[in-house]
Amino acid sequence: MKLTKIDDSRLFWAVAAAICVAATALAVFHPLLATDTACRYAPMAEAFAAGEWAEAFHPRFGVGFPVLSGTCVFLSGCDGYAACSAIAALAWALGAIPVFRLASRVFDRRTAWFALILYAICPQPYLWALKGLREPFKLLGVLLMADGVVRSRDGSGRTAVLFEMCAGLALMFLFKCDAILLGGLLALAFAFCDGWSRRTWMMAASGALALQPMCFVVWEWTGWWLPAPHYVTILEKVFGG
Amino acid sequence: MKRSSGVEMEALVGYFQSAPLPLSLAGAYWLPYAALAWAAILVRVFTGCFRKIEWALLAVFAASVLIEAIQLAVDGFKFSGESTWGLPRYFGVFAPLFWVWSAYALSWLWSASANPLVRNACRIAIVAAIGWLAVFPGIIETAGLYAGGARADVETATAKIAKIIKADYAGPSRQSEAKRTMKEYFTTRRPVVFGDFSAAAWAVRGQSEGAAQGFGLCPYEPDYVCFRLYDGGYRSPEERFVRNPRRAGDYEYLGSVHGGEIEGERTSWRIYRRRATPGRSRAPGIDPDTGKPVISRTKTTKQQGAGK
Repeated sequence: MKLTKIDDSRLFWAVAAAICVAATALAVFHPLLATDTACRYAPMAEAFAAGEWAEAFHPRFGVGFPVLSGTCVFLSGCDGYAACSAIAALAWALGAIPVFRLASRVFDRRTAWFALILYAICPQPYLWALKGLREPFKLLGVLLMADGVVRSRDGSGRTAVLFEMCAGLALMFLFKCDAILLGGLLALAFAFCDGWSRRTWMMAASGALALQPMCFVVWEWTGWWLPAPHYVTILEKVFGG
Repeated sequence: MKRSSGVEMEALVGYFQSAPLPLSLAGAYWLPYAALAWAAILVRVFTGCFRKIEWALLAVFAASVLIEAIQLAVDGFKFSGESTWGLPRYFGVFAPLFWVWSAYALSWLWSASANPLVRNACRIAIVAAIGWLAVFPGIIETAGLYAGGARADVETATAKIAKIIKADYAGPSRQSEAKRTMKEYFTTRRPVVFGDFSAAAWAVRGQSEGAAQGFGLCPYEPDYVCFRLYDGGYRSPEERFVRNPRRAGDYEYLGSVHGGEIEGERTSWRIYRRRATPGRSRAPGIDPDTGKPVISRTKTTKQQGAGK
């Protein structure tokens, strides 16, 4: 069987859609209990859905997850735990798309199919999703940005690459504090590969915009306009605050 | 006979989580895939086939790991740092970038030989390996977590615990004053339920001890404390509040109210409730001579029976 000779684009999108539907459905009906989700993300989601803003956000845990899972609770009426698991499972499933495209770009179509299979059957990332953790968002962000950096080298799909980088950067900046630095570094790598073109500056502008909600939450808690609380700790050490 | 469950996998994950960082990382990158990826990378580098685009992808992967490690190093490689935690899943999210070479290795093996016999043998081996990985860790172990593992035990027990606490609790639904801590997220919900698994608090929509259990971060006093059987005994309030012996006496065992221990799928649980008049200077379980708590480990009827 020669997979490379088959026009498999439609097949790929069908498989990706099936993974998304199956993963989200399983997570909604059978989420796995995890301490982090039971103590943080699920109560945050329900607080967001109830409009209790003071309890919906915490500087250490990003604003993206409470907004997405809280919206899911508000729209569907499911509990916070199921919402977190469903949203995380969707993020994990969407990760299959950049994995396929990345492997296809670096090697060939057959390698891309193997990469997709390996990604889909590995239990670790999927268990993070079933538990409603934030890792699948960081995973999706890293994959999108890595694909964007690799694509910027050959100059293909200029608008699509810009969209990919903006989405990846937003995921890195809004979901996990420890991913902010990495998001910035990958954006810098993209800028160098892309030759500081107009789309680099558009990506930078969207990234700066994505940082503002986190800055607002940190400012409300600490009085510093910074995207993560550990930067406040560092600055306070430097300036003796 | 020992019941087969998903606990073995949880224990394995727990092992990697508690292991030193290098071993932890090996676990994070999913060994069967990582071994293939390293083999593919080394062969391609040493045969001069490693292209610029691969170096770019490898650089992205290495930079991602490095940034995470630097943040961990800034925090002094503590398990619970300011910016990041020493958990394999913090590093494991970069693994799919690495798996591109695992996929390449499989793709190469798929048509490695011109000899039809060898080629077909390779293909059968690949399909069998993928099938085994998909079915064994992917489906059977995951299904085990649902069917009879710790999850089922906790779900069964917490459903019963929630029912008891909801019927018993008569206090306010919110704290009178919100106390915030930067280290951890807490709500003002009541009742505050401490215990061996935070799902007990989630099931009553109360406040737990927090995701970082055992760090003493929760700014609120618990209304209830739920313990499950472990190592042949329970953590009594005396043991739980060992640093503050007087608090132990503030809690009473609720067994007489709801009829004894709560049965999960595999373990038994106990609930303790805060007394209406706390602050006894000499609580039960405190040695009157030393003032230190007496640690008691009570065997359950289940265990006593099992020993016969």
